[in-house]
Amino acid sequence: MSASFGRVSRLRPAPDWLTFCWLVGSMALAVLPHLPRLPLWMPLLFLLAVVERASHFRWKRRPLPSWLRLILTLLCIAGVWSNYGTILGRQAGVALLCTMLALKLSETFRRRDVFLLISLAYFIVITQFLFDQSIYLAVYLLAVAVIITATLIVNEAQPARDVRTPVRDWHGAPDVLRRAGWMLVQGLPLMLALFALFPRLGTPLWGVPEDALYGKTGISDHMEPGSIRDLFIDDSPAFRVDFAGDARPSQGRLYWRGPVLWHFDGAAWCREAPCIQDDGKDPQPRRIGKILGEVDQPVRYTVTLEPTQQLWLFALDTPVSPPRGFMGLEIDYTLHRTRPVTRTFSYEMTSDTGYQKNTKTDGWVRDVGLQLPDDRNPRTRELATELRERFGDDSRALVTHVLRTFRQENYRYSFTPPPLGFHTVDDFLFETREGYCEYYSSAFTFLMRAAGIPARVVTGYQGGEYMGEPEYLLVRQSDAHAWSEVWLDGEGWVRVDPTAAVAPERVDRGALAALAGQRRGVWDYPWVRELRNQLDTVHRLWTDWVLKFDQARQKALLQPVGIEELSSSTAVLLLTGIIIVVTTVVMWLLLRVQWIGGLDPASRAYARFCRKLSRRGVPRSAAEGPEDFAERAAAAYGEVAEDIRRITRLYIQQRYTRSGDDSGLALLRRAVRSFRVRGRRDSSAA
Amino acid sequence: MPEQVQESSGSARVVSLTQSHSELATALDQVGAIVVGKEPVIKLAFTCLIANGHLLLEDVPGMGKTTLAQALAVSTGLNYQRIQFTSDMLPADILGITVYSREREAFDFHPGPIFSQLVLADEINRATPKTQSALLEAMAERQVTIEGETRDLPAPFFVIATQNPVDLAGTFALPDSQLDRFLMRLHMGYPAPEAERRLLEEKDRQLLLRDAQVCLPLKDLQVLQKQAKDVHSSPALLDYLQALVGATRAFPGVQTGLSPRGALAILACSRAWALLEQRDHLIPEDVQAVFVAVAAHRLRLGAEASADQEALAQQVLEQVPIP
Repeated sequence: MSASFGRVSRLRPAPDWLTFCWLVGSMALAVLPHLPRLPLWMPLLFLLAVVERASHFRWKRRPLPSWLRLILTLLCIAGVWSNYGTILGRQAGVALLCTMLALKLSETFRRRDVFLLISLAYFIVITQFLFDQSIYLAVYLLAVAVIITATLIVNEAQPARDVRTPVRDWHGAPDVLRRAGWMLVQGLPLMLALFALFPRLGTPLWGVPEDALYGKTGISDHMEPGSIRDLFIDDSPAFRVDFAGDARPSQGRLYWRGPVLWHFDGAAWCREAPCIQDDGKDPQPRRIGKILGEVDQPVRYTVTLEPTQQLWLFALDTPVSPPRGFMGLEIDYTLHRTRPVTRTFSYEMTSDTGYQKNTKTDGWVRDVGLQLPDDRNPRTRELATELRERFGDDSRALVTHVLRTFRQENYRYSFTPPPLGFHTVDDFLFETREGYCEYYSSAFTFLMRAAGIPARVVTGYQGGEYMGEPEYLLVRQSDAHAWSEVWLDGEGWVRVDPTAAVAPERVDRGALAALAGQRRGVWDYPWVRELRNQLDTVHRLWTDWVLKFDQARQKALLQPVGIEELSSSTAVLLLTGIIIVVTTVVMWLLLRVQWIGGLDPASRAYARFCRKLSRRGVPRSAAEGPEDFAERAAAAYGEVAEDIRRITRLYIQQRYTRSGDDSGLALLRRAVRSFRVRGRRDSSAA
Repeated sequence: MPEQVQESSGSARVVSLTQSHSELATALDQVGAIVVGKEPVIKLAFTCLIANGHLLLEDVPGMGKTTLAQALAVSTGLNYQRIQFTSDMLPADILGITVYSREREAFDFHPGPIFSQLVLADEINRATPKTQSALLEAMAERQVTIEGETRDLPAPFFVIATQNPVDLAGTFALPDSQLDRFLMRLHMGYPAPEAERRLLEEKDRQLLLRDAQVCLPLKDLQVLQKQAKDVHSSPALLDYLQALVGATRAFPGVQTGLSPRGALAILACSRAWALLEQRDHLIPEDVQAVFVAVAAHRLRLGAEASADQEALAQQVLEQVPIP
């Protein structure tokens, strides 16, 4: 083993310490975002690999024998298998890739191995996008790509370094990074061309990660005290809305309907009331498909929903036509999908903000709408009976009375209410009188049911912020809201927002205004929110132009250029053309930089002078001295021989004598600027 | 006009033209009249003289190597000795010998031909290595040690050696370390037809040599040598020189490139050349003018080399861009 190692290192030099440091650094940065997803033993493996390889450098240890490396490899594969039950798939595949990266690190004997590792690191950078496609990650990975490219440069430059001196020279790092960055910039036009022209699938390129069940959930299908409060602290976007035309519904109408909750067990509300199934009298199809009816104020819009891992979709109250595709609208206007939303998902909707719902309803719906746990909240039940006696059959008056009570009797909208006991509604209505939407809608719905009025809790979002240009509505998790709907004879299901009765500003100006003075987190400052809004605009552009770039968008982009259908042969042709053009331009720029840039001012002026002559058929070869060239050029263009000699003299004075100074430089520059090649070229001389 | 003033003050082509320069020009003319059609070689030979180095002339017999050496000696007025090297020559034949004098009853030292200011070592590769190294040691040290006594050689001390590169039977090729002692290696080459015609028409070269005058006396030569050391080399020029030297070390076909001593030799010769061109600063052309003569014999070629040393040195010149 050691013999072959020695032979190899003689033939092809081993990577030196500097290359190794760069390599370890860039690999660590490339793997870093994967870390939370990887098994716990993975960082340890990396550390061991680095230490093992570093020991070759520091203490001249021998590398691990090849049989040991083979065993380690098998062990690692087994480890991945035991963690994931497979070695295929997204998670397991990436884990396997990372193990191989770590193992290969302890095997970097030659510079060729470094190349392999660098390629692998590039690939790992790409795999990050299988899990997350946010712009922040993209920016981070771009930076990592620069560092990996810098590692490539450092590795490439190794033969030029003196291997005998221990390299601790990091002063070259900014320069190397600058070069790497410049190399990536050169690749930019190519990247854009590939992005625009690469044949696209019908769905966006970054496909559905099937096993990605993590991340934010937002509104769920059950509600208990505290579940919405968790969302208040969360300023991350829930969804964005583009309204068609000029429609901009006012804040008071922006009720984004989510799951409707029917069942109350005394502590929590949930969607799937067991009684609906157990009832046995469910003659109606659960889905009503398209709801026909008169539409007063149709609002058309597109919702772009962030991943929720849930089935629920959100629509402006009240949705009148279900969107296309795998979606259904249930009888209680809950909009859902057949598969969880695991990535950014867009759908078009039409809603009517003034629409009344199902004026007729069936007995079973009323029964479900009156369901209550028997053993809870006796005082509320008492109050309900009392109210019922007082108002008789006038349900509307009863509702109005309750809302007025909320408004007048010292109920407070608060973000930090005191805890409630076993009889949650009793405690809230008669003791604490302090809470937010969840408390109010829950208590109100309970009270209505107790009074014999069918009621239900609706969860979703309320409000949003218009921003950006063109204007769109951003709805955040912190806009989460819960309200009630009661069934009134002749009117059908009517929306009642008890929170609005207590804190009208919640609805008019959003949760933030309603909770004015109550900071929701350590980072809750106005400027932070402002910054976050700015970032969201960027984020939206990213989603719109990068993540959602699919076949249709590609077509829309290419149509103005006259490409109707992008077949793969056209794409290849176009790409080839662009690559040729870009490479030519970059080469020209590079050569220009080599000729002009990086020279001292006198040489730059002289290079300009040479270019002028070169254009007239007298090129200076790189190895030709200035006087030789001057003689040749003067012979070719006798008419300007004196100018040529004078410029050459000035240049030599500037560059090769002791007496070069700024005034001489100015003289040279002026002479070169005014120099024109005149007269006919004496071809016999040149 | 201030512009004019500045220009003329800045890039004066020379050093003040001293008497030494005019004498140098006369000397160049005189040698040029004797060795016709060989101006570049003559100029390089003078360069070597001013750079205070030894000269190796390499060519087949009858090309005027000896004539050139003699012309140089006569023109500079240096005392001159010629040693014809043979294979049975001993170091003592060059350095001198101590003989017992019966009249004086003491040992007398009879200095060898090396004790002269200009030594022409003809066919140096015919001598055995032992004899060669005696000469070469003297060239390096500028002193000889005979029987424990160190004797200084006269100053200046020039060696112009010749060797025939074709007829190699019974010769001992100079090892690299000894070739390195020569500042330059020059090839005479055939004369141009017009020059050859002049040679045929004019008087015998030996007669011309006899009539030749001392044009560049020793003290003026020393003035020039001193001036050459003051020729300015700018950073840009040193960059170029280093690029050239560096290129020889990684040039295909070259096994061993130029040593730092080789780089110093090029710099010294370039300075002397610049002085001949009447300049007080170096320009890339100066380096290019002397490069092949100074560098070629210092390159050790690999087995795969496709050209001879001079051609490779020329290729280096053509391929290294001037920074």
